[in-house]
Amino acid sequence: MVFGFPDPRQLARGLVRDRPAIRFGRGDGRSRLLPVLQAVADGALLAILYAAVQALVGQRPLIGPLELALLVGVGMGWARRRRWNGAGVDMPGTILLAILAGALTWFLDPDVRAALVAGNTDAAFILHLPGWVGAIAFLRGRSHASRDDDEDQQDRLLRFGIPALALPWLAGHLGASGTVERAFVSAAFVSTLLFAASGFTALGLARLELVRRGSADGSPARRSWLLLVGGIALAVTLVGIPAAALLGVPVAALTATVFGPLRVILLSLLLLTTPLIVAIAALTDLIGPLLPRGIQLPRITIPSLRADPVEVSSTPTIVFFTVLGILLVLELAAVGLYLWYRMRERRREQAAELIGFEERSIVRPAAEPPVAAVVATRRPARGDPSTAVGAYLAALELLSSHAGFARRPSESPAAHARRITPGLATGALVRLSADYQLERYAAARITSAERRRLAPRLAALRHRLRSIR
Amino acid sequence: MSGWLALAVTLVVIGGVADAPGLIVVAAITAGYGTLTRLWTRYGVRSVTYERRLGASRAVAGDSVALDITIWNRKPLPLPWIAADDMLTEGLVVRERPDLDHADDRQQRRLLRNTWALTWYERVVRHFHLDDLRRGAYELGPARLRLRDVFGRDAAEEQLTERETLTVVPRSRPVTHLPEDRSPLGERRAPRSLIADPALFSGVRPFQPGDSLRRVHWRATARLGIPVSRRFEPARGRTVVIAMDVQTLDDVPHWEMSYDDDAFEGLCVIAASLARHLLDDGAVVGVAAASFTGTPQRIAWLAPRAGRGQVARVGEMLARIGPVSSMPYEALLSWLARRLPAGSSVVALTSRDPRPLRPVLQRLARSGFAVEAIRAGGAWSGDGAGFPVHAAHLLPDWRTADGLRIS
Repeated sequence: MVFGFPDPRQLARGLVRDRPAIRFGRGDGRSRLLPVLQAVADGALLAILYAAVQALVGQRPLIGPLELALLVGVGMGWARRRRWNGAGVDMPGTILLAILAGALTWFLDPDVRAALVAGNTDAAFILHLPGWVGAIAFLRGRSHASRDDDEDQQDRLLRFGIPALALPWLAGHLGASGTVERAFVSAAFVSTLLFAASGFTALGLARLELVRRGSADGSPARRSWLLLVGGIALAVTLVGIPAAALLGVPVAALTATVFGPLRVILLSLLLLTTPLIVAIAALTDLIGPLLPRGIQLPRITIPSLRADPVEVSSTPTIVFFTVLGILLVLELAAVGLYLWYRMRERRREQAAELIGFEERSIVRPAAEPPVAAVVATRRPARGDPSTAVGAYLAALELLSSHAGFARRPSESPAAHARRITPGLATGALVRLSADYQLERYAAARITSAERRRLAPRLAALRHRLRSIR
Repeated sequence: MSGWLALAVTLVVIGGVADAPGLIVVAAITAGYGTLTRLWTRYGVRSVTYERRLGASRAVAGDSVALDITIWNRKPLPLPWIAADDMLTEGLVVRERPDLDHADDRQQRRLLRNTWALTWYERVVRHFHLDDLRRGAYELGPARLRLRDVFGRDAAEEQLTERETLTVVPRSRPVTHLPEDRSPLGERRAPRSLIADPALFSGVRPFQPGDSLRRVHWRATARLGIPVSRRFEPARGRTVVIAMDVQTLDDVPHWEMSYDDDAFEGLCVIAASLARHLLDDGAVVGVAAASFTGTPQRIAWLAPRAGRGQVARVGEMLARIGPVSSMPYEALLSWLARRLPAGSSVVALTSRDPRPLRPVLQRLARSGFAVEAIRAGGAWSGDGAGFPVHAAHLLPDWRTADGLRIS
């Protein structure tokens, strides 16, 4: 049988492409995802601590896990930078950036901003003191300087971080009440789920990456990765839904974490698509005179960055939506086509790598055969006369107390029975030993009638031994 | 791991007492983490079958042998990461894994590392190839299975003691004599003889009128239903023992573990070729060498026998010997003198300068043995030696030679 793994001779001639084991390194999506997940885990943990401190001072939490994760990410980026590595830059830069990060999160409190505008600096400083958590987030990110420590750091974070979550939760519950407590629960709950999900995923990823480096083939990492993400998603769902019901966390709190970043993404998209909208408006203006009488032309206002809603035509036309729809469909089709092509290429490459070398199949093991022989040879309880072995062993025990009748170590059951039967003047032992040999040595089942005779034979032997004594 | 569960229970209790339901969430995560890890620790390696199957247990040097590694997860619990470190004797070249790591705990062993991620009931077969096999006896195994849980933490480990053995015998090449050299090596076996040796039972044949009833093989007669008589080997003259000198360097004591690898491999090829040649020619052939074969015995000894089966036995013995001498060659020749019946042929095969061996070989010849000497890869003037002297050449070298030339 010839297998399809590249032949060295074919490789030398260039007939077969030499593809080493599947690789994913620094540029791979999973490796890029690892620091993001680490930042989210750290940010979520800090968010819980911050929410607990805010609850203790009777304030609602103003900073979420994603903001803090962003600052952790900035710290991580600063620690792993490739430029400005001099000692004269590192320390001052770190201090400056930490202060900036702290000030940023401190400013998020509107009361602080109002106090500062009013010139009341001292009051502003005291107003949102826990807001300086941003500086801690930055410094935490800076501790992720080496990629080699990722696995250790994540392990420590989860090993001690999970039980340690109990303290801020306890503090938040005990230190607050009413709406503040509810706000704390909502914020802490979301952060806890985020911490668990991102922390476990990051730990798994870091370990997979570590193990992958030490192994020759990287293909299992892909499946392990899928299993890891799927398992954690399932676990978070299983824990999250009943826990949210137990804590009475509003759905808005859960969705806010997801839709917050989504809102930012939508705003960015809106800004990016502004030229497109302008172009569509110009196009509709151009084709307007060609349209039949009676179709209303719209007046489109370019979106602005103002907080108030953008004014659009109150009567948008069919033409506008048709053009927009077509463009959207075309864009989606292009993206879909691109994704499909990428997926097909990847599958083809995987198949080329493994063809002939590896065969995978799902095989359910056949049902175990009945274990009749095992049952027959099962060691019975010592002295149990319901089985031939048990009855014979009980007989041996009876005989062992009589000098001359005990079985010698070198004697077979048959030889022993033959030797002492004349002295006993009963054939009970001969029959017991015969049954024993059938059951033990021949793995045969004695008949039920024979089994019923075991106890009387044992009793006869006992009676005979009493009379001899 | 029970510590995690105890911690979870404590948190639930504290949460209940302090009316802090949030602690129950933390307890659930703690318990989930502990339980999930324990799942693989406890059940991970259960019902996992690891199998190593060689395409052949015996091969000739230079061959390729297929090696299939099968792992089967026979349970519904998926295994996110399972690795098998299979120990291989050093010297094996795995085509699909050109660089094998050294085993930390065993010398002269390499590790064939495989990792898989297995779903429920999944069986994976990997087809490897052992290329460019060199002469030797190779062992595959034991293997160590290591399992990691879904978080990549070491969950379980199992040692699998099953081993496979691959014997790679040296090549044997056709032997050619120079036209002027017509004397065969060793003694020919008589094709027929009036006298059969009753000690050498060789089979049965149909009964013929005149056969003695004592010669009838009654059990075979009963089994076959027709009368059959025993058949014996014809009585022979002498047997041939190839006494191989594993020392390959001149002026180096036998206990020094230095050797010329090419010279030793060449000797093995010559010995295998000679043995095959002699056996084809009807001789009874045995082999002796002062070398270890993986047992405490200091002499590798294959008793003389006739027949095609002896070719395989000679190859197997030559596969197991190594280039490190266990005793002086002279001592081996003396041992042979005590072991062999007088009149046997002894073919001394060496690659060293044979002059120091001449007295021992002459003593053997005077003791009644038919001594012949072969020097591998070099000329040897046998004038006045008192026994035939040959030179054996594998041209251009032992790896690529088409034939063995005896001159």
